Amino acid sequence: MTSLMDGRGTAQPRFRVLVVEDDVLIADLLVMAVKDAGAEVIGVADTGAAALSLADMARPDLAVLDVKLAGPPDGIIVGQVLSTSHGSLLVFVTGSGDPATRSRIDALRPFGFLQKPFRLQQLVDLILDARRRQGSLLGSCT
Amino acid sequence: MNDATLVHGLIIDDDPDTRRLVRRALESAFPGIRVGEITDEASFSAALQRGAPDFVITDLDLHWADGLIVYMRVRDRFPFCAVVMFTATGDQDKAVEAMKTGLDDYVVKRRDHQYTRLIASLRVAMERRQQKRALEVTNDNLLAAVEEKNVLLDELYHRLSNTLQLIIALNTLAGERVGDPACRSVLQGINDRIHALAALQERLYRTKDLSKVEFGSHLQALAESMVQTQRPRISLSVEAERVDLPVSTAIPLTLLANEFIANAVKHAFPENRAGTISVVFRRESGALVLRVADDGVGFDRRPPSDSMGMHLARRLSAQIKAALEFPQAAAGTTVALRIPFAS
Repeated sequence: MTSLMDGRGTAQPRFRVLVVEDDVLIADLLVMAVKDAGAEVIGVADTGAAALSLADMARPDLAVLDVKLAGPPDGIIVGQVLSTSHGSLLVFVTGSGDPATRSRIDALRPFGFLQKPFRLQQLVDLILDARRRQGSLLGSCT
Repeated sequence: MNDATLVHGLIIDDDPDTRRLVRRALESAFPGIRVGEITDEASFSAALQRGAPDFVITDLDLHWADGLIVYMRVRDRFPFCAVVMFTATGDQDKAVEAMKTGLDDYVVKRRDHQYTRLIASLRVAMERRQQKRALEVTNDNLLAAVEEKNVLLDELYHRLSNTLQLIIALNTLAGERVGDPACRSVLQGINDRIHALAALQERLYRTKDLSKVEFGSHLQALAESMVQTQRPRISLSVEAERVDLPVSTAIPLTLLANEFIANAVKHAFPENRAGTISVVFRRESGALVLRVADDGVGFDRRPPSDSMGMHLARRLSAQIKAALEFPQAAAGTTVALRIPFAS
């Protein structure tokens, strides 16, 4: 894992997050939460294909994924690939409440699941938890 | 069955005399009838490939196949085709067994009146299969309509959730660009109200009953999401009775609960100090009572009465004919809402 200096001059391991969301304003909101949690956004993809090629280059620690994307692959398939080939943690955000989608998501054992509309703080908290688990957040933050 | 419609049937029997006599009886009973005679596997398979017959008359004892298997193959391929067995005396037991698996009837070959009985049995069987088919079609149509409704509802719900998230994104992004903390707080307040309504919406969708909603667990989840995610140092106690409410009450009551809880979260514990918020929702002598109490800094910190929160509280409690009360408390602030409720 690479490191960079934070503002206080101590080395913090980087925590790299890929955002996959085709609605640009909601993507902006997701990016805001990632930054609020002190993580780094390695890219924003609006299609599954773009997400997979970004991930091949940058190997994200975590991906925030919308489920419904324009055309296949959808967010769940993207998540499955990211999880198996890069070991990325997965956080799904979806507006869909249907049980079939829900059970496909559950089968991947994601790190988090947020039903839209979610509170920004919920996503920030999830990413902070993920950072603690990866050991990229040193010490306690609360 | 109307005799004027053209009937199409099959006779499966090894004996040419039987086939001839049955055909004669059928032709006089059903003018214009088309009858096919099956004498071996080849003619049987060919008949199965053609369209569904209205009826099949079959013997059990066949030189080329087991009559029961022949019956099963017809039943399997043409569920609405009437099948009547026309059998020798010794085969009665087998025929009775076949009745249990959907054979319409059997007629024993005897000397007298056997063809009259066969025709009568056939008429009843065809009538019944027709009704069954009509019922099945109606049923399929109903199932398709329900399925379509569910798909539309899912789609609508998905759109709604996304749109609410979009509105929240717009407010949040706007908040990022205004420096004025009061302005940002107003935008945040609007987002909180949208969240409260969206949570109610999700509960309605999940219970699949769009007219009423169980309010107690909704209130509990709402309070937890408002207090625990935003202010972990405030401890929350919720005592919420499970009560089904019509949506027309649940919506304003959701907004009211949101105002009361948000008010306590924002104003009762300044400088991130610790404390307790307690939320009670229960039946009390002909009324529903919602009470939100805190042990924070007290009454004088309440916002002026022209604030948005107070304005909403007054207007919405009037809408549901509820009495809004601020009982004196030893510490902090208590707000109570008394809603007339006939249980």
